Amino acid sequence: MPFPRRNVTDPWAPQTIVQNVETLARLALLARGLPNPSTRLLTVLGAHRMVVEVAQSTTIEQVLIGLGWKVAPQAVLLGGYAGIWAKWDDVASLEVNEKKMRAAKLTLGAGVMVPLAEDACGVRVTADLVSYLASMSARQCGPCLFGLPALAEHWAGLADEDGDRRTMDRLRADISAIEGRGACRHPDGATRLSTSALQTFSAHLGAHVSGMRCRHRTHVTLPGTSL
Amino acid sequence: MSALQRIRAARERLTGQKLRVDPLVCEGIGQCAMTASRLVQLDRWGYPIVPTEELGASDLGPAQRAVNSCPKRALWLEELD
Repeated sequence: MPFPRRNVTDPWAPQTIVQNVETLARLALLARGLPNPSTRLLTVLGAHRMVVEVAQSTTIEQVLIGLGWKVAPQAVLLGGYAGIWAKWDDVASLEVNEKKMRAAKLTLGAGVMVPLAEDACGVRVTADLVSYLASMSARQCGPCLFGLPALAEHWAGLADEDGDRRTMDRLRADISAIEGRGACRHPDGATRLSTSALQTFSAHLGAHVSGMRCRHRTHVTLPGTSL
Repeated sequence: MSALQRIRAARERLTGQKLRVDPLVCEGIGQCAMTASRLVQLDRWGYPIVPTEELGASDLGPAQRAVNSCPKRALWLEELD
């Protein structure tokens, strides 16, 4: 099986371990013989990063209302930067419960959610996210090293309105060329994000490739992605 | 896989083996695709796309030659259980 072969440059350097705080908190409760809590930690990204703990029976709409969203967003990115875009109407009444999410072919992943305001350009945000994912490659295998920058380039072309229908075809072709071929799941995250964005923003993409000027506010800053 | 290949695969005795590639070791040299062009295609960056399904009896020879041809030893045949 694929195994990352990296040279250890300094065996005495501090080691890094990344763990999910929510998992650790739950483990501590289970170890004390307490029942598994029926809540879920969510990180909602927008102008500010908000972390909330809500009951798993809360709907996505209730979460956003609780955070002060007055107008419904057009779409929500569920499961973090390598997650899945979904149209607001499809997910507003969905509960933040992983089982129900999976039944709807979605996932909360580590619980990161990005609502996209009605006046924001989903194509531009996706382009930024894909180029961020490309920059975060561990540069260990071909499909990631070359595939992700290619996806990012297609998305940038679509966002800048330089692209046409052929750019979309090339994007689709590259998605299927990369899918499942990486040494790890990182490239699959980028293809998943791209595929869901193609579906969710299909109408807006149509406007982008037909040469109409995008009237949406294009500037959406997401934590960590400004390169 | 084309329709013809599918029909051929259905008719053919399966070998219980799969051709695998280690994407970390592969450097996109392309020997495998030259040796077994029917079995291995290259993506547009020159990295091999190997069949995901079980190998048929007639594919076993080319697959073994592809494995042997790789200067990085990135390919191998995997026994399915």
